[in-house]
Amino acid sequence: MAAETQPDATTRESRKSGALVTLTRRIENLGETGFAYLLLTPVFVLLGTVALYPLLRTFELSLYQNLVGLGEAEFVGIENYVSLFTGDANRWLPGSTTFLPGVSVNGTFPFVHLNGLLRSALAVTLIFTLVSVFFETLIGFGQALVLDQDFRGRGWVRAAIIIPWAIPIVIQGMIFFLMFHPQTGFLTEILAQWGIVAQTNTLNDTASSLLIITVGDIWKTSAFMALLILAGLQSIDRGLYDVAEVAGATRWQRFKLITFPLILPTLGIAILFRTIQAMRIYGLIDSVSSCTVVPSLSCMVVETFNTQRGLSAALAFVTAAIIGVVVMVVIYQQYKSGDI
Amino acid sequence: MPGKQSDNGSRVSRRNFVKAAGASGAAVSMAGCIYGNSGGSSDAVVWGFDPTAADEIGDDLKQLYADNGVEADIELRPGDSETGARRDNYQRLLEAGESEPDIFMMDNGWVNVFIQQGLIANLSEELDESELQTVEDDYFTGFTDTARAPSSGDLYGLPMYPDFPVMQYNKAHAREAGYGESDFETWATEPKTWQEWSQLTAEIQEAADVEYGFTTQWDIYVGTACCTFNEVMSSWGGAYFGGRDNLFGPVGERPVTVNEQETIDSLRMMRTFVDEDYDNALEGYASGIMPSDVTQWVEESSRAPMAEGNAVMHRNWPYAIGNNAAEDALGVDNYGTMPMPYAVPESEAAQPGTGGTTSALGGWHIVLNPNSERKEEALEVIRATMTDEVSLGLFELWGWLPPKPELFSSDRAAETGVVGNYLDTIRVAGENTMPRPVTEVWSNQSTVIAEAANEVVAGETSAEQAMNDLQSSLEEIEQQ
Repeated sequence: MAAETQPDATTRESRKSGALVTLTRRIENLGETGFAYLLLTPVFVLLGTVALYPLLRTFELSLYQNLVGLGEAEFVGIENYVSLFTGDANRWLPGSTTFLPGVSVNGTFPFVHLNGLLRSALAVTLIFTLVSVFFETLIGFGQALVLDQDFRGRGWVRAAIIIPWAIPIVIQGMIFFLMFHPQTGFLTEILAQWGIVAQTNTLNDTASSLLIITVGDIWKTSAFMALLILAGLQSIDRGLYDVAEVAGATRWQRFKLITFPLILPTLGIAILFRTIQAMRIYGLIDSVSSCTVVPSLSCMVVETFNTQRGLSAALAFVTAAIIGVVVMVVIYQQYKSGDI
Repeated sequence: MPGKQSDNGSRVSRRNFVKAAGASGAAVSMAGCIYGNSGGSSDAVVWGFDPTAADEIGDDLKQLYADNGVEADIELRPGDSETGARRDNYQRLLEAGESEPDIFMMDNGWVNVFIQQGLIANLSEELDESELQTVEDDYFTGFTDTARAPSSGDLYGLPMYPDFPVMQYNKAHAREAGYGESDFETWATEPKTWQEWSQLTAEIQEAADVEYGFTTQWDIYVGTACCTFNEVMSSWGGAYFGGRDNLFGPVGERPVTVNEQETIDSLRMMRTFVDEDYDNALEGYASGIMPSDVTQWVEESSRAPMAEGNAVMHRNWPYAIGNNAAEDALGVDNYGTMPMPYAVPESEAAQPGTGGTTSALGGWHIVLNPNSERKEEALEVIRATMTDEVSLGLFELWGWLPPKPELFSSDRAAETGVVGNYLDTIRVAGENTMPRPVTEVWSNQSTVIAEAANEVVAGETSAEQAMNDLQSSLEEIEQQ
């Protein structure tokens, strides 16, 4: 009979609570590492959903030749990557002579021609990243050291430093566009006389535009570095400085032996954040000059998206891979030095 | 790039841009529906429309159609104010098989790609023979061609309004050089050669002592490829792809002809206008009449010196006439127009269908969504648009030029706004238009074309070198 074959409600509850008890015991018996991984599981699931899946999907798309609207996507394997690295994809990269420096359509050796080198999407991105992150770190460090001091009006100085960072990218781009535009620019002529930027066609000259965009980025983002570094500076135990001062250490010795070593992990993280951001540069280029003139990797992804989605996906995946390598290197360095 | 205009750039003034930004915001909040079947009356014909015009004249426009026998309700659905974004949205809508909007306004520069992709309805199968014949006989041929399938000649879009650039000049400055009304009357319809025109410009510039002789658009943007360079090259008898017949393909089977002498010379001429010390200058052409700044100018930036009275000649779309010749600007008495100059007559052009005065082509067509569930009502709107009453009504309401040359001679058109004073010149431009060579690869080609043309006029490379490089790049893109 049905009543005899089905467990009653009390039995079901007992079994449920029994399973819960077993699960709880298993969790209690987990080692510290296992427990840590268990707590991290939701994060892994979230990352897998919002980061890993799109990345894998991008890789899948990069294996197809898909000219938008013209028939079905055709599976081409790694052809998009091959054409990217051999220069065959050049025709799909508006404004970019090449993807890589050294692979030129017209057979010219690009290293003797600055604009030729700078038409390479990879070179533009790397040069921009290296120069901007270097100066942002340097200036941000300086600003953080100033802000770390106790002086009258520190709040005002802090606000002044943060203001550029608060300005939206498009507004910032417009400011620099107007500063260097032939009709409105007041800086072009002066800088052109010094030979720093091109006399005419300034915002259509790759080297000049890249310089202006890099300066614009340094102006805006040094504050971000300053804030991160300041947080690190303020976490240093002030007692160390008191002891060093009693021991007769000079200001330079205090900086070299206390401040710098202790701020290094924070600096590493700050540089990592900024490097990742810098490698994705797009908005500032689009608002100050154009992707045709300054073809960064992200520019090329956007520019090819509406005509060659397979190639666009390959470019996006390569960009992500380069950023991934940078992240891994920094994390490995920090791991080696015991900071994480 | 700030200030840069999209595609034909023909109807965007700063004022309109601000309006458009507001309108597009309103569009998003109203509809949330660029993807289709939401909002609005379920019986209305939904029309993908210009956001600024929808905002400003939407009610009057609906009334215009109602007055001309359209019984169906019309819902104007504003698209993105940036034409490239609007095109992409429409492409996605049609690819997804959405049934709304039922009809779209489409830039003449997009229609061929939509035809090639099989995304829009064939009007040759929807309209009557007599209606098709009217389009064949009464409309600007060059403009209508951009709405036809290149292989079959079938009509896929009904021309709604065209746009043709003309050479505009400051009459007050010309008077200072001794020219008068009888000259202006001749100039209005009889094109000059570039040589005559450049000497005239230099003469007036000197007499009036103004900073700029000629202002135009030559930035690295699509407007240079589709329009300014296309005009100059064509007026020299050159062409991107071997002449008019190959404008719309077939891609890969047509010749690339940018490294021909006529095209090279057209760029040498433009560089001559800029650089008084140009080693390779064309003899007999005035130099130093054009600022090097043109290589960073688009429509509005090049219009500014003209509006300030600081230039003699200015190449732009009719919207610039409306702004510069307005009562509170230079005024009709001080503002003149002439057809674009030319270097060789049509009979001597090296590439078929080119030569003579040449104006680029802007303007919009109406196309039908093949998935529309209100096809009959949508065709009713399209048929009403073919009437003279609606064409002239659109001109009066919003300054959209009629698509039929005959209407340019009507008293009603001549009395319409500031632009009504300049229809003789605009009509000549319309009869001598050169469309952009739109195919599915044009967006890639236009970028490299603009870049190459810009570099020559900026003096960064020689015309020969730039055109040889461009030849290779275009051939590569053709062989995709």
